[in-house]
Amino acid sequence: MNSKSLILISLGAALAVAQSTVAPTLEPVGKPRGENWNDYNITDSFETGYRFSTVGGSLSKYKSDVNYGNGIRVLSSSFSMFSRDGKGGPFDDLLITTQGLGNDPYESASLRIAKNRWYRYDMIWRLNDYINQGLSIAAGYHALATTHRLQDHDLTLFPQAKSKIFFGYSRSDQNGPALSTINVYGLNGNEYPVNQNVKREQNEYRLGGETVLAGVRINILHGWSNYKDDTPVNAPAKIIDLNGNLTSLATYFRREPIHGTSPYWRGTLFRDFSHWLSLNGRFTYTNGKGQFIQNETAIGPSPSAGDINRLILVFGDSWRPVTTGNFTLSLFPTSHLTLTNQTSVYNTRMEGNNFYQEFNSANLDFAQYNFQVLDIRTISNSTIANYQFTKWIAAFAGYQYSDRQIRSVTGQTVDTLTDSIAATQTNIVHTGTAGVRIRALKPLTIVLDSEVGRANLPIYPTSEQNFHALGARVQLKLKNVTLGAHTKANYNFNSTTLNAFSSRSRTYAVDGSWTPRPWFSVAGGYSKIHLDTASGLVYYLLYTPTSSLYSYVSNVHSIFAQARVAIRNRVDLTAGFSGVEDLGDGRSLNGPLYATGAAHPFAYSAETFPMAFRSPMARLSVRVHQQIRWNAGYQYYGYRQDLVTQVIPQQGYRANTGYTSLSWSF
Amino acid sequence: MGCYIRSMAPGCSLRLAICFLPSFVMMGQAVPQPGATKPLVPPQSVKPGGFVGSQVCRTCHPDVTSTFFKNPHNKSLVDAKLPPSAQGCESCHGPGLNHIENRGGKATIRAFSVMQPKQILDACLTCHNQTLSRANIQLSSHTTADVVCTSCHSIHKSTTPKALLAKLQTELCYTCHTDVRAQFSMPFKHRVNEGFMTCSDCHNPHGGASPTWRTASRPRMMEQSLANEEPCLKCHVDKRGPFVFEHAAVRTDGCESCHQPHGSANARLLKRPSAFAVCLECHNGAGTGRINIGVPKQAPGHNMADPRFHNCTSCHIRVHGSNGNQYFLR
Repeated sequence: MNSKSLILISLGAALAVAQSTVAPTLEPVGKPRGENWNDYNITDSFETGYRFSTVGGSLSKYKSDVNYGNGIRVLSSSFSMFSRDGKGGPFDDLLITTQGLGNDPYESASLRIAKNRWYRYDMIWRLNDYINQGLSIAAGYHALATTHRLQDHDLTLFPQAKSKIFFGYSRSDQNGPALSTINVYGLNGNEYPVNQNVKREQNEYRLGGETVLAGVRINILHGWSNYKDDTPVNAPAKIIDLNGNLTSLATYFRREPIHGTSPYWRGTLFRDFSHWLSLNGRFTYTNGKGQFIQNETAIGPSPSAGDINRLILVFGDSWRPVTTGNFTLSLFPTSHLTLTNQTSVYNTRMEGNNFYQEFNSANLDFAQYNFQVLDIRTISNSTIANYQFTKWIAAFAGYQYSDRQIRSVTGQTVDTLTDSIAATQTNIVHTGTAGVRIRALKPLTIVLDSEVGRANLPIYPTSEQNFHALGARVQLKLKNVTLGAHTKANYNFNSTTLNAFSSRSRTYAVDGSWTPRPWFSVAGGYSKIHLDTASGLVYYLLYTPTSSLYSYVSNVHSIFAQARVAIRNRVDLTAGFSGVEDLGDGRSLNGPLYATGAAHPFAYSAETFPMAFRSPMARLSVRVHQQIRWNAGYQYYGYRQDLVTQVIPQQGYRANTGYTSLSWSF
Repeated sequence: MGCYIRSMAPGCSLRLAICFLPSFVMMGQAVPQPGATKPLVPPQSVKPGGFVGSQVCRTCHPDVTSTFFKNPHNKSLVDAKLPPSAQGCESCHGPGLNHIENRGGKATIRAFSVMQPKQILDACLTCHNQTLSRANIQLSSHTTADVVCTSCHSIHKSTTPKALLAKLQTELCYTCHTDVRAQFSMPFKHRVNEGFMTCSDCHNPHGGASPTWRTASRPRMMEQSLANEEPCLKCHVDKRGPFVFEHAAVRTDGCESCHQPHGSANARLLKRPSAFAVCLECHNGAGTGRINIGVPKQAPGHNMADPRFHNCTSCHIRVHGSNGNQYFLR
């Protein structure tokens, strides 16, 4: 303890006597970070510098995966003001943090300001420069280069009182160019690329309150969520199809504004009965509505009627009222036993219709009224019992019953003739869970858990039907060492009349960290995630129905390692490595999707996807002044793809990224 | 010299001064030493139940108390309306008188480092049970695995100003979920490692309400949107609808029917490297489908020997739901 601290402590002791309490020590342990101004403690720090990157190989894939560029950035900053006695002026807490401002693809800022007992305001703003080439879908013709901004504002009045008031506002907007495709003149027609200028936004307003009535805490929130998508589709004067047929459209034009609103109510209740019983419920009602219109004009060659002019107009409405409820009851009969039961209900009726009208120069006009109804009602009840036998062993067991009913009506009216298909089905799932926790030694925890379930009438071939899971976790936590290992196996077998689907996944992972000294630490881990699935595909080859087995095998090995060393509190060096490699099923065959002579000809080369993604990094920070540090960092990203098919092009890349910066703090 | 509060005569200034002498000695020590003189608490500051007030704790725990004004729990310290049992240090650690009289020790106070997980959970829930986000904590997979409050939160040595987490949230979750770290190491992923979003944007580590998709059974621990929808829709607002023609899989079994949200080799986070494999695994006439005749197969005109039919989304551009066409063509 230094002399300054001793002086402060002595001073504090003297003050203690004067105040008739024992020794409020002021700031005894060295100099705490921050400066005191009036009643506030202020801290501030920011890091600014230059980021650079060089990329070789597929720039599109690099931008989809990583997307760091060049330029000056405020890499991070934080500012805080805390009232030291909790009785500040207009606020007691003020906290601002930022990340990546200045042109990083991932930027964020947050603000918290609060005055004890009076208000609390939280804001978070995020921006994502989202570039996604989507090379492996739609022949590489679907791309986005948009900016997506998200912001959330929440204000609570009287946050520590029994009665509170809430205000909230959230906004999401996405803007920027995109590439999409259109199919013109049906199955035998062609696909063309089109440009879009994405313009979407959603605004949500919230107003709510909370109070306690007769011992029940009641929280009511009303929200209004308004959405609109006014993305125009712009095609050049003449657009060439994707299929190498050299057909082109002379004109293509489309507008399709969609506007929707989803006002909702949420209510929650809570009641605690002297620690032996607690009840809570959450209920929501949302009344989603949408309106749209589509207007499309195409002039060009059709496969059957030569050049035609076609105009399409579609308009209509959609609704989705949703009611949900969760009611939870927890019982604590003894200090060793906890029983919890939850009942949940979900009920929705999705309903929509549109009026489709087509005018074309080949067969004059065509009009049709389409409608669809999709109702889902789910009732579920789950119970879990948690019992602590002794200090070192505990167990839990649970059971869940779910009942889901789906009703569907799909139809259309042409002239005065209406045709529709209606169906109803009920899916029931029984699930049981059980597990045990062992803590024979205080730092050693062993958890074994299991789950088994049975479902009737699985709606999709890949849905869970007969499934079970087994898991185990061991963790050792000592003062300077943490070691952990876990394994998990999930199995699902879904046999239907036409196809059998099975899925097996197994995960093994170990990790650990060691901090022998405050200035030195190492951490590392390895995990293997194995997945193999088998399913049946049904498709048409040369217009002949065909079926084959499709199996997908993935063997992902992942490793991470990190070491940090600090030298005399002046130099801080961190180095790390992160790597993931999918070995697939061992093959390295490039080639067509349809491999003649293969055991399963269709999709033969889509049954596995060997690839590797590696990223070593290093970071150096040197204190050049008591309040200033110089930092430099480097990170390499290397992506290697071992399989190239008709659908998936080569996308490998190597990127060197880094930054140099100064950080300043007080 | 020892001096006990209950034996002191109020108003006796000489005895008071003598009694305070050892406390000066104590103030210079971070931790009471065995054999040292017992600390004192003035009788007027002892409340019924043995509560002595947080000022007393500062004597031996200055490292904790000197910056406690930055801690959200400091609110309880400055709220004079609260009873002593709900104020400052003793609101969590219990009455301190016995601890002081015995010159410290973990057995004389509620010390979280030696408590059983269930005791820790119960202690924190004394105040925090009425928060909506923790309504289902007793059902959560964390609770059944003995992962309780102090497994993630560090009340006195937090590295994050929000939520008092022991580490940055991502690192904290990765500590146990090593396989999830591997998934976020895939080439394409949600930007969690980059700091754009956090695990709790989608997950509720305190236990979520039953999901409204996948027959309400799994996944657990999701942070649903305000209207109990899938959390994906909080950001991907264009997928929300309602649509005239819903892709039923999205509404019944959720986004993860086709997507692998943590990370994937596919740049659209698909479960398979090629989109057609995702589509055809379901659209093979099997299952019940929503009209009980299996999930519709592709139409006969799709000659899969022609490469143009390998890219389903070239034509079916509105796979998340469409207003214009029941086959999602517009």
